[in-house]
Amino acid sequence: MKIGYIVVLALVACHPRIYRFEVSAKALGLHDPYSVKWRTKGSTYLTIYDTSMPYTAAPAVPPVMLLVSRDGRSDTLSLRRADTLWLPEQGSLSIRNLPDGDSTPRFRYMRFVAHKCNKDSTREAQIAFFPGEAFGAVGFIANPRGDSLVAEGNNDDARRWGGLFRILAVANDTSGDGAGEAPRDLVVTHAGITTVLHPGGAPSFVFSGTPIGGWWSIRGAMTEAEKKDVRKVPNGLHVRIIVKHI
Amino acid sequence: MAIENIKTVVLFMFENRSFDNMLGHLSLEGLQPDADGLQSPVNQDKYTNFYAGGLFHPFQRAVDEQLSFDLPHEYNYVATQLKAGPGGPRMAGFVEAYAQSTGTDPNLLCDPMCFFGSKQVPITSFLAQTFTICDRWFSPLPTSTQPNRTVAFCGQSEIYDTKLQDIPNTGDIFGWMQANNIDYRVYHDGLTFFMLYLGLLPTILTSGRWRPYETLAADLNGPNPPQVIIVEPSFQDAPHIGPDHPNDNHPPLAVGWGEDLLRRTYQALSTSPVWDNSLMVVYYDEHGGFYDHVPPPAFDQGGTGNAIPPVTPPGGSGDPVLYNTLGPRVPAMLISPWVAPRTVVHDQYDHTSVLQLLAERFTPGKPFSANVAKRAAQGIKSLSTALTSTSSFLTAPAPPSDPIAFSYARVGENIATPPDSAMGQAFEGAALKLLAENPAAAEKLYPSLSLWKTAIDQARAQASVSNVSQ
Repeated sequence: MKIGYIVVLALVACHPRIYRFEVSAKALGLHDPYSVKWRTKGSTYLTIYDTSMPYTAAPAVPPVMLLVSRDGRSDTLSLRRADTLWLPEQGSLSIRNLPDGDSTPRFRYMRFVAHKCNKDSTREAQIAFFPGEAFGAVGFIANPRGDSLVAEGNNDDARRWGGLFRILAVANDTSGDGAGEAPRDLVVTHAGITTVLHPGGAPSFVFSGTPIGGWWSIRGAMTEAEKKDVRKVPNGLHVRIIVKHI
Repeated sequence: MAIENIKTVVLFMFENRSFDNMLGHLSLEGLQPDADGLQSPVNQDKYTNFYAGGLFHPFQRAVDEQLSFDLPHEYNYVATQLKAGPGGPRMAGFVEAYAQSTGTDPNLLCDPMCFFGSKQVPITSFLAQTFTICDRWFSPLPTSTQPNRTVAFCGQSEIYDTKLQDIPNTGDIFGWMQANNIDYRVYHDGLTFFMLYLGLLPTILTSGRWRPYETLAADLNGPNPPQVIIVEPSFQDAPHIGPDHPNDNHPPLAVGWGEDLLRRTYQALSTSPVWDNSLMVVYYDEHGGFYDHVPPPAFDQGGTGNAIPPVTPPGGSGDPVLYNTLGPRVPAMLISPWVAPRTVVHDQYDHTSVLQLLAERFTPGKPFSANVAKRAAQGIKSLSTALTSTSSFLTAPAPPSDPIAFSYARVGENIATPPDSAMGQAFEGAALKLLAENPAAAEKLYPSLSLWKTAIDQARAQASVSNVSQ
């Protein structure tokens, strides 16, 4: 009985823990390094796999060679499908895609697992790798103000873009195709600059060189339909951004 | 009348998934175009969630696997998720609530926005494509588990949040069934949720109506099947010991174990003599923090006897708690010979639609309760609107028999310290009370519970000694 009790106690009390799991970036140039830092209790591993960028019809990405550095020692890893790195309970890695002539954007999943006594604790990080230029969006919840819609706020670019990209151009992609926001001119203010973007128009380079982060204001006139029925007001307003790696 | 063909009603409630999370794929994959699920492209504007200048959209999970965190779904977080605007809820704050709750920077493919494809939820998808689904079934309250389950089984809720508390069971379904001579049983795959209602403990322990899930199939083939059957999964937040594993689909769990339990339950029912005159309702208590694209309609909650939370959320941050709508949509399926095959019913339901149906069937002309009747007066339909007068499934179709693929992991819970989650604390408190008040009955109903109690006592004593010595 006592042995059985001890076994039960051991099984139930045994558990993994993730005290820390930090990945230094969410968007990088194709060959920028990034760091992974962790502290756990339990068998620890990091599974890495790459796909094409979400919401695109791009084909599967080709394999890539990774340079993985830890404790002053570097190894190469050919990332083909999902590769797993077994890790100690505490440490840090530096990872970088080695140049191979390929310039395909890729999207990396890193699933971090601490395992103990048939139990898992998990975290997931994702990184988008772009060649020199990348597409994105900045947007906010929109609220009516008079006959206008106003969407504004602080764009916390450090969360997604880090400090490695700057604005190249912005565009208004409202198209009136029925699936998106109604087409309207957007008055965009950012980094002390204000411009008007016409729906479906060519990208504007007026914000070129400005940081992605900071205060953005996006305003547009309400349509007649929206004035009559506020339920038709879109949830938010956004602008497409083209960013350039610095 | 169609309803008279139903002699056995099986109620099977899972935990914490939105309609789009489990069934949004039906329209997206063209399996059930009439369902109001997700449409392609899933990154279109109307599905956009905004957070800190970023845009987030629904995405299909690559595999069914354990999530990093439970998702926020308490009333204050639901208010942020609904993101009320001038035209009503905008369903645009799910990522924001997640960031607030977890303290993490959301990934581009952020867990609240995920949904499953048909191959990842093969049993749910099979049943949804075979029988009737309800795509306007809302959780009754824009808040968390305990209040929503209370409305489901009492018709009203005197609480508005989930925590360690004695939940009032005013007007509960068991008293109603007892008073109306309706035979019922509860089949539980783990600790029963109803033990969180201390007023129900005597009934649970002494009525003989609470039985292990393993006896369900045999009882369905027995001489006197009950008129109402409640099937309970093994709740993730409840104490677990030995090989028992949770299968209630509550995040961060993968849903594979729940799919397996659903298949076994459907097989038990559909191969029994009860099938010919049965209706199984598969539904979820609330959305669990997962995105759904349909805004819940306006609803006077106070007028139907429900406790109302404060408008200002805890800590003074976040969106005001308006609490003037139903909760987000949940997956709901009606499985019976007496429903139309491959059909979507668009009537507005919530969990009290079940109570309306039970009253129509077993106490004709007499509503379940005044508050359920008030909900009906606000537009909540009875499930009887989905029944047909002709039988469509003389022989029940067999479910997919393939192994269910998922990345299995048990949630790593540390018993050396009390549970972190409100539901975990509630379950633990109820289990301890059960053991203290009636250890003999508890031992009979849950033989492993005393072992669990001994284990936590020992683990916490050791942890305490360890902390002191440090």
